[in-house]
Amino acid sequence: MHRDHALTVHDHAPLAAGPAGPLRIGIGGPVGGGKTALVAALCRALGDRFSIVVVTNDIYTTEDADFLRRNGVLPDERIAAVRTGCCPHTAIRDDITANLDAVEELVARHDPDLVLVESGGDNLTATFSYGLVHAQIFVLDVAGGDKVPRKGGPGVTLSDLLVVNKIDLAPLVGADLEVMRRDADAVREGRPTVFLSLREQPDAGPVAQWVATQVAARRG
Amino acid sequence: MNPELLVLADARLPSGGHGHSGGVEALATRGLLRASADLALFLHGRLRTGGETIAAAAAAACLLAGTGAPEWAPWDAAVDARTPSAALRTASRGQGAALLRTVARAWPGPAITALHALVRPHHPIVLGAAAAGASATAEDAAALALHHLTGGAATAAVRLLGLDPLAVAAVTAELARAARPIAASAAAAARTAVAAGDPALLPAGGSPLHDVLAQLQESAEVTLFAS
Amino acid sequence: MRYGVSAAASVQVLPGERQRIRWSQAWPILLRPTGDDRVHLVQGAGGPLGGDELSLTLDVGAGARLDLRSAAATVVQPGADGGCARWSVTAAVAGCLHWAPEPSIVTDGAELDSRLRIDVARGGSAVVVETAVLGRHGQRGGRYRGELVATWAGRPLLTHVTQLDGADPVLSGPGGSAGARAVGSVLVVGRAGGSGAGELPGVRWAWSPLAGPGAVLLAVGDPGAVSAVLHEQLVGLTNAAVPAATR
Repeated sequence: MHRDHALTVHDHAPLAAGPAGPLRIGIGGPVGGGKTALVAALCRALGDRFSIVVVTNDIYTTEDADFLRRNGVLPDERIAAVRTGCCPHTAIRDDITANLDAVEELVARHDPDLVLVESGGDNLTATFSYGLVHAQIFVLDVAGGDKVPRKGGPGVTLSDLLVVNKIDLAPLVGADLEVMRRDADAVREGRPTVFLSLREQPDAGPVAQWVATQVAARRG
Repeated sequence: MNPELLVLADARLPSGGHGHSGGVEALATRGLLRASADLALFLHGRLRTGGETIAAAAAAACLLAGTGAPEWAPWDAAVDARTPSAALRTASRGQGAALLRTVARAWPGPAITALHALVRPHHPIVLGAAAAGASATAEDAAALALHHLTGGAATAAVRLLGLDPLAVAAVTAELARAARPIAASAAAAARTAVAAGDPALLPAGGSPLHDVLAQLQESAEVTLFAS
Repeated sequence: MRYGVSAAASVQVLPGERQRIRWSQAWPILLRPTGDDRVHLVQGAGGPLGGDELSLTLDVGAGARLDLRSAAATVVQPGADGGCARWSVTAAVAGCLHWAPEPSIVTDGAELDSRLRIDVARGGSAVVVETAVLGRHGQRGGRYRGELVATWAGRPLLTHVTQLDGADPVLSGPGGSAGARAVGSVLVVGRAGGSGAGELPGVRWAWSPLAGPGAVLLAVGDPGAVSAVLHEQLVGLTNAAVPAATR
């Protein structure tokens, strides 16, 4: 386990290497954690400052794209949907070619400052390849249980930013945020964790701030 | 046995194939394909209709790539003409572009470099050119194309219908045997076409239902696979 | 019962203030002009039968127009010594061709090899309809191989071979016609085609643009439903494209 960490930490020095072009941030996590809501929040919070494009990898119902459109955060032509053939983790990790295609096409068309690649909902082991993104956010919600950070898995341990969403629900589902914080810190080797309620903070304040910092660092 | 070919035939090679069902999703959602026996029948049909067509295109590309940096455009256009469905042309070009990303790194060479002039070359063209890079014969390239056709569809059927993967493995093994003479005839046709410098001589079998379903799949509201 | 015959017929349309149609017929392919720009093809005998080799050459000059139809469905029957009935149409089109024959019905035990090659020059246009039906009512049908080659301005536009066989479980399975008895197509070259796709009881159909100036409509299903789709889409095409004065 520790050897794995060392390898991956070395591998993913996020902004130094990786794909050419604008900053690409992957947003992953289990189904229902709030990935799409987070993408919408980031577009709203950062859309004035940065030119943003989004690639979604969900079941192709155009639903995610509709969600973004309905919320008035992004025009159609800035959203591309990748169909993953029931294998969302394959599309962001093992065979990233379809996503590379989608990203590069959006980049060529819009010359954005920021590319958000939203994974389809998957399990705790699904992470992005650093051949596709420069940095990744893993989104959990407290309703999934406060033991999730302790279970670990690459999403929790290796993501560049861990977001624990829906903390407003913590009392209702009996989740202990302190336990989650402690367990996450124990495995994340100093990488940041943010606790959030997108319902109460629709601008995703701390996450937006983190993303803005990454964009600035990428621009140099 | 050419070990490089195993790498090229491996479904784990990044090539975008996992997002395509080879027509299985459209059939499955309409109840036209339910069990592994249906899958076998479907793929035997594909081998005998569009299979020889893509296999011959791949074999021709393999032969052409052996000549250095060929003029790819007329051969790529021949695949266009043999693919009535715009959705299937897009799917083939998408998978071709995806595979080209990988083979440009894994088997670089003048033939692969020349393919970039097409921007998004058709999949069998890229596959055949890559096969040449991996020292394959035209027959190998044709067999690879058929392997890709059956393997992608079989995997999709397992995912979509919960078929027994062991039963499906038996289906694909049987199809591999059935594919052998088709690969041979495709390669022979490709040799004739390449020797004559005339892509019009390539086989052109297809299936209208496959084309219609591909168009319907493209306009469907909920799909898991791009084709 | 007769043995196989070979016959070659041709139609040439020369443009002019009043265009002229020249034709040469060869039994059993009989041609009947039925209007200034219209010719009907009449089968002078039952069949074609296995062993027959029939061909038709069309030449539509720039500025000329030919509307070619057939008087009745072509019913392909097995010949005395078996074998395949061959039917080929070769068309050179610099003007405007509309070729809409009635369906070809391939009865049980019969075999039809149909070839259509159409070369459309820049500025020319063509609408070509083909319908293959496996068997008469209640039959599963014989074997059909249909080859369609279309070029536009010398470049390949569509090259497609369809194989149908009512007695072959593979070709009538989900990788072939999935039990459908009829396959119809409308090929449009050098002008705008239709668009859309649909599923109705008894038929699935779709338009697709080709990789060049043209489009193709494919319909697969029951003979009646396929004919209905083709008819409806052709009416749509005609209404969209032909100026009212010439209708």
